[in-house]
Amino acid sequence: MNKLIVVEDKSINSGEYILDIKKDVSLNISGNVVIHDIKSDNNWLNIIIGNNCNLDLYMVKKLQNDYYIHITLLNNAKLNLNMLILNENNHQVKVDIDMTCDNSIASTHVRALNIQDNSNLDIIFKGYIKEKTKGNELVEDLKGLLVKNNDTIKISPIMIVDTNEVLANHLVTIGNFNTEELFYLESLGLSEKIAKDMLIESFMKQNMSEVELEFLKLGGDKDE
Amino acid sequence: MLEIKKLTVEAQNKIILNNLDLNIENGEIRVLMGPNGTGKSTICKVLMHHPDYNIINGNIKYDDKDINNFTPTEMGRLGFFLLGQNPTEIEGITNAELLRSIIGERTGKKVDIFAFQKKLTEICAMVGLPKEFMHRDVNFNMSGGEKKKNELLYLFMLEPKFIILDEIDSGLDVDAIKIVGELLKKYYDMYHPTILIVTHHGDILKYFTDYQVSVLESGKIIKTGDKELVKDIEINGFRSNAIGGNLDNE
Repeated sequence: MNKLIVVEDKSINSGEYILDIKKDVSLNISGNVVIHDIKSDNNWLNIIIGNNCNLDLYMVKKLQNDYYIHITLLNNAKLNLNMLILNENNHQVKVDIDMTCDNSIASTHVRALNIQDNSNLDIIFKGYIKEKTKGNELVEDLKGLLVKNNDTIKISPIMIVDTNEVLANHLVTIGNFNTEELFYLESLGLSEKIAKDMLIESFMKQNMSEVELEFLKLGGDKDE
Repeated sequence: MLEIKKLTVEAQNKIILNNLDLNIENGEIRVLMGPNGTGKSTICKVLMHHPDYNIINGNIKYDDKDINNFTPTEMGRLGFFLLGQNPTEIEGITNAELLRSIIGERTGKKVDIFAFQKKLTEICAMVGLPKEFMHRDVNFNMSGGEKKKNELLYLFMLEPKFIILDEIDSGLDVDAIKIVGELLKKYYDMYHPTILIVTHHGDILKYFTDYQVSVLESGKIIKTGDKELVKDIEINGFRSNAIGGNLDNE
């Protein structure tokens, strides 16, 4: 696993990386790349996935500011985006996925929750599939869990599809704890508090890799 | 002993159980049968105090203790265990993590990790699950048969004294029913718990030698008998003369 501190635009070749992005930058992806973005301070990120290249991107964003990420997929590119957003106060996250060529696949999974009372999170997730392209696939799987007092999460899934030769679907859910899951855990003898803590943990861990799980276990401390 | 007296339960402004009386002795196996929609599964969830159901009249006692106002947590700690038709999936939490938390919370002590691991390994082998299942997410991405075995893993780990089986045989093939039936029989022989079995079929019952059967209709018990009653229902359905002959067959 390579650890990279990024302070300027960069090309990233095949390999697995933990990035610490210090500035708003662009990344060019070539080959098969796995990125764990768990420590960065940037508020903006642009990624271009090259022809026939794959990116598995795992992100944990503890929001201090609004955040914007823009990802472009070229021909036969594949993106597997797994993003956990932890919000304090009032912030907006914008995600743009541009599929401007042919036969690219974007599978995107976002999990979001507020970690402070009275916080408001607004997510605008836009997928764009350009006209006259063919064979592209886009999945938007976006979930928000309300666990704090007087908090809100708004998720706007947007798909702009200008071609007929495409597979695209989106799933959005925002809500409190699932009654059946909470009942199941409590009926095994767990207290309500521990059961809810476990469900929050379960939600945060979905789609995350070992690197992020270890990071979350340490409390998300950036200095670890 | 479980004593249910004149229990009336509503959910979403609809009466689901109506003036139900049911007594089950400790160590007894009681089977509940009846057409669809008569309240069989409701009884299972009401006993565990599922939040969707409100007791509006009547009383539930267990070993002379009034448990009407118990929470699901208190029922679990009292030793009640619900094994449902479609066990809940909890992605991101492993069996080992959940079981350790449950045992730690129930006992109020730090779990001896070596003893815990040893017991879990032994029970995985007993229920026919690879030991890797310890580290699988709870019921997540498992087949129907694997889920039922996974729930039996919890059964043997937590050693409940009152087991509620809500159509545990539903969706299982013959081989899976045999495995589940034999494991439940083994648990019964080891611990002699009380078992309440809700089922549509007699398949799971052939693993038990001695049980009582109650037939439920419109939220009330209308007939109680022995295994001969099950045979009669299997042949004649719920229109059987033995239970009054006035019920719609499924």
